Amino acid sequence: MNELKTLTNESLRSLISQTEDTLVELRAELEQRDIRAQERELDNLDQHMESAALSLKSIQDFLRYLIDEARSNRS
Amino acid sequence: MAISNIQGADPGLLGQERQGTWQQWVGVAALVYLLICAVGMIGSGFKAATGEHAEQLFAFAVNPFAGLVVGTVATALIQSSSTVTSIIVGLVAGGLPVAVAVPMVMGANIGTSITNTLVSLGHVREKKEFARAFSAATVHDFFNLFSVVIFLPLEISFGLLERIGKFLSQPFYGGADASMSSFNFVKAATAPVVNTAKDVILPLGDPLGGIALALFGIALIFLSITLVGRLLKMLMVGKARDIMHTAIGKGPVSGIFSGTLVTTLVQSSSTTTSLMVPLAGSGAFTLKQIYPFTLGANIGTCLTAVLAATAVTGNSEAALQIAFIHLSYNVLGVLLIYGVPFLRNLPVKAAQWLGTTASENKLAALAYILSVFFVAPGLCLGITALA
Repeated sequence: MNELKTLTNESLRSLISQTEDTLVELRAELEQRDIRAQERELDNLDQHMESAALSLKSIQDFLRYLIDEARSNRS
Repeated sequence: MAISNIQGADPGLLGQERQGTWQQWVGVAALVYLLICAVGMIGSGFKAATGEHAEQLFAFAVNPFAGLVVGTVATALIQSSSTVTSIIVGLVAGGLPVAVAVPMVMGANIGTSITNTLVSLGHVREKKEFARAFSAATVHDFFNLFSVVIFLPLEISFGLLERIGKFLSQPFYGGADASMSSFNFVKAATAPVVNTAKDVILPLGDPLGGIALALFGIALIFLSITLVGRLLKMLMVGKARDIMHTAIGKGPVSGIFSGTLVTTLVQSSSTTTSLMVPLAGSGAFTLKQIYPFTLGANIGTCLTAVLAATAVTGNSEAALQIAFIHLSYNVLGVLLIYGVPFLRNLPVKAAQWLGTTASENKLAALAYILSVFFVAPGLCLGITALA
């Protein structure tokens, strides 16, 4: 950080501008990655549709999980 | 067989499988026709069973909280708001007062949100995934609860929704040339089936025939909505994917429209809201991105009751009024809660808090479901019965 003190105002302004540009690019890249991840999930919509169907089994699994958790906490 | 698993299949065959066969589309049309007929049967059966005493039969539900509880518990047990609202439309056509039916319709909104909450329990084994999935499910619950907290007092004090419903239904029965009272194609098309059912069942006697006809109509609604839901889910998954792809990164309004459209296509708000659970659980979609889709689902589900209301006999205008009340309640809920910045994030914050709490202590999830959908409504009903 001490190097900053040796930089000219002009160089500091240029560095700030470059950093801001990089920040914009990083944000855009992150956004694109999020969108790509969402598109991949939507491509599997058939499977999600199946897993989103309510079944008695998922409720039974949940209750079994609660019982197992309670038992492990007791022991 | 999942379409994505078909490797090297004939493209024509694949296209046919994606779009569904014509037999499947005929099946959808037949089931929708059956649904509309069934609502007509409920109206006729209820009227025949109660005569002019429908109001007395539902005297216990004159207290709006009792009506709210009836709608909530019935929908939570049947797991379909379309079924419950269609039955309510039929009952209103048969003489149930609109004022009694309004809180029931509001309750149906709360009751339907149990489905995606139960679906989210399937993610219980992964803590972070469960927190995201449970939040995505309960944001719908909280939105519907806030909506009732805002609109039920307005309805009790000013009859706001009843007036809006009346205003919207009047043009169809107000004597205009193109009004439903002068010519109703849907009613004419369903009359042969409804009249045949009446001719066969009503001679059983009074009030047994009416009760039997209403129960037969309820069974038919349940059957047709279940089957049409399954068929449309199969036929529309590709279309739903396209709509949701289009909505990605386009903001909340686009999300609300997509949710509405997808729900209209699959004819089930539970399907749309349950679909959001794995999408949020995987972490690809944030709670704030999921939220507008679930609001759209509330609006999209109203079409079924409006469609059903076009064909009833008896008090047809009141039936259409309650269907429009359901629609306007959901549209106003979205406009008000999502439109006002202060209110917009309340359901999100509540759902985030509950998701985190439930992921830390899974018993909290069970306690929440039992208390919101069964214990609290039961207590309310008990208190109103005693009062």
